[in-house]
Amino acid sequence: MAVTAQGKETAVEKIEATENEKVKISIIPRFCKGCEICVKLCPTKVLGMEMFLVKVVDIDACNSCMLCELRCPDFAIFIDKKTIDKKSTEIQEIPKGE
Amino acid sequence: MSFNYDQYIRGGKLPHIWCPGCTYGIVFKSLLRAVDSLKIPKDDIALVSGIGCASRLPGYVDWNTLHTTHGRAIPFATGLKMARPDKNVLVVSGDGDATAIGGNHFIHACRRNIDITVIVLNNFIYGMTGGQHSPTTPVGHLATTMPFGNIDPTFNIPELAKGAGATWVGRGTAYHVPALDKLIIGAIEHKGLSVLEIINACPTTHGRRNKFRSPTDMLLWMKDNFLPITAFGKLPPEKTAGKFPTGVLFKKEAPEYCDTYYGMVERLMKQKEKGA
Amino acid sequence: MSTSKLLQGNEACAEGALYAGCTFFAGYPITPATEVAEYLARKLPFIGGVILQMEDEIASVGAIIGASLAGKKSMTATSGPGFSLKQENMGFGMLCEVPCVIVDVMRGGPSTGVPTGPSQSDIMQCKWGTHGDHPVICLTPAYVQEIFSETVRAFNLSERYRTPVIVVFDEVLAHMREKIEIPEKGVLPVENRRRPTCPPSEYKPFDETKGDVPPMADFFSGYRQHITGLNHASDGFPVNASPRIHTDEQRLIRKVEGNRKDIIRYETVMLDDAEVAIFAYGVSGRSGKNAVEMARAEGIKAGLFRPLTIWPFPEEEVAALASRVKAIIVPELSLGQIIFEVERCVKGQCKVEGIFRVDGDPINPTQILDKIKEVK
Repeated sequence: MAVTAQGKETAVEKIEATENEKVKISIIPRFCKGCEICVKLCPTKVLGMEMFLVKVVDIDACNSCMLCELRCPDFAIFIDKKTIDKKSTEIQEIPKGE
Repeated sequence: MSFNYDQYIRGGKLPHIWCPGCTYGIVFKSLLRAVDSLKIPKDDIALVSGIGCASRLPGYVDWNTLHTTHGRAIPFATGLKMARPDKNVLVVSGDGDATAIGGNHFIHACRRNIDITVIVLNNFIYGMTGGQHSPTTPVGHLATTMPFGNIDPTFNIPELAKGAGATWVGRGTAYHVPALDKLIIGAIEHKGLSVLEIINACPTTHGRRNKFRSPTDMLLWMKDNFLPITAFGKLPPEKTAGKFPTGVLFKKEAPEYCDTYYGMVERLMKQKEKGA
Repeated sequence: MSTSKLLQGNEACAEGALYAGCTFFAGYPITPATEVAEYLARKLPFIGGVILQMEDEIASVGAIIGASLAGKKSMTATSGPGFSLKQENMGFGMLCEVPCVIVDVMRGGPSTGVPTGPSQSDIMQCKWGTHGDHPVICLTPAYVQEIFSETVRAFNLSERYRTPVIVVFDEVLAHMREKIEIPEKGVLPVENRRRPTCPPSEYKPFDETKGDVPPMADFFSGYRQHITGLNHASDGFPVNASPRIHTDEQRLIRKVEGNRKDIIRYETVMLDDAEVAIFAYGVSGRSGKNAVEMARAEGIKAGLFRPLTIWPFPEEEVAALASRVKAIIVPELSLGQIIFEVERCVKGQCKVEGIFRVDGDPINPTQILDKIKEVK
């Protein structure tokens, strides 16, 4: 359960997340209305449409410009940049996916 | 995510009612970010609207919200503000709501220079009722009540506001978004009547009927035709047709109405005390 | 000690508002109601109150509703043409259950009519003027003292029942001067709306589980809420096609109709043994009283029923009266409006005859006396 701004409990929305080591793109399918603004205005063609909803087609092309999140009218897509610790001298092993 | 919108949105209200491709959601997010950056407590802000798609915005926001009658948001907001001049009162209104039926209230609020922020979401049409022409529908465009092409001349909303006495006038668009946050902040911070026109798109009842093939095309139309004021100023006169400046278009300082009114009250009450 | 003042009706109305705790007036100039605004313009600033001349009548109602939502007791005053303009926003006030007082000083109509003459032809508009099913409380004073006390009562009823209340009189009463007594503060009761005591997160602006009149929080007081003129649920949010709309509308009507005993007031003059009754309110009620006195002097058993509350209509009282008199005479400054309500309640138990006059002058007591003689 999640908690709303008013402190009331509410169901958590289903989120489709796609990520790589640099960025996580979260899509809330229930909110997406298929307007395609994010798809068409993404400068690096990360996004596409499937069954009238947005989906990530090329996560590695994403440079976290945040324009899709900024321009989505429906709170349907969010970008989480992952920070890379540049000062660390250790090479971080990226865990292989299961 | 760059911003936690959930803290301001009333629970269970999303997805909102606006159509696919309606740009009001973009403006909504900008408004939340702007108010958040001003650190205005939720209890200290009221958002008042009239009737129309733009006017549905307040229902979604966890502030003191008031959804009134068509064109009449400003008088209700005036009552709230005069009763509680220490609080922040915002009005959100569509182009028809603010400049047609609400025109009289619009110009008088400007004249009074009362400290209310009037945000006009201009999508060039009466969207909620199915696409009738409004005082801002471009000449020649098709609407259900102008099926052969609109013949009505249009208002220039910032000019109207300035002429009526508004002391902060700006224009933003749903495309130029980081800039929009700053404009909203400027409009709210200004002490006096602020009018911020925000250019929006209604793909469903306007765009589709007027050769805009997608909501994105309407955003790109805004990008091409609404230029920051400095860039607009550099255009040669023959190239300005169909283009409009954005940014803070006009600003001046003038006595604010609540200050003047309550200043008078303080003076009179002091006189009465002396006389007693 | 009360204060004696020689005031015109409009001024007494303003004094009543001040006595009841009104601190916010918004209006627009209109004959014959303008003096209410002018009097309050001279008084309100000295108590830190707000007086606003808005750009039109519609804005005036909007402003007083906004102020009331912020916790102020508020009022506006107008006449026929302005009353017509106000209807939409008055309906908003009724649906959103916002206390406020609307004064209508009736003048000749329709349209611009006779601005400087009396009428009683807005009385049905008071009840039915705005669209949709809506609760109406409407008071009809007939003396300058009563304009004062009924305005105080209007504010109290509006706070008690969380609804706009209309005070209606006419140009003659508005401009006539009579000596009135203004009691000391505390003598007449002054009521305030019930505010919520629950935690803000539990507050619902139209919470019917708390009674037919739900508690009402002020804007900016920590109780955030959404108020909309769309039909709404108890949490204030719009609903469509829901049985809830029906039950909530019934609650709104019941708020008023179910509290008739508390809201209805009237004066009777020599009615106990009357054979002919006069049903009249406002300035016609004054003529009716004179006529009854003249009739009694000639040995005719006439009596007067003078409502102070016209809406809700005193149905039971009129029906009971009809069962024991030969005729009810309804003098009104219209071509017949309130007479329909009288006939509806009489249900044929006795004759109902009207005296109608719309030429800019009040009904003369001798006109009523002649009619009494005719019907007895």
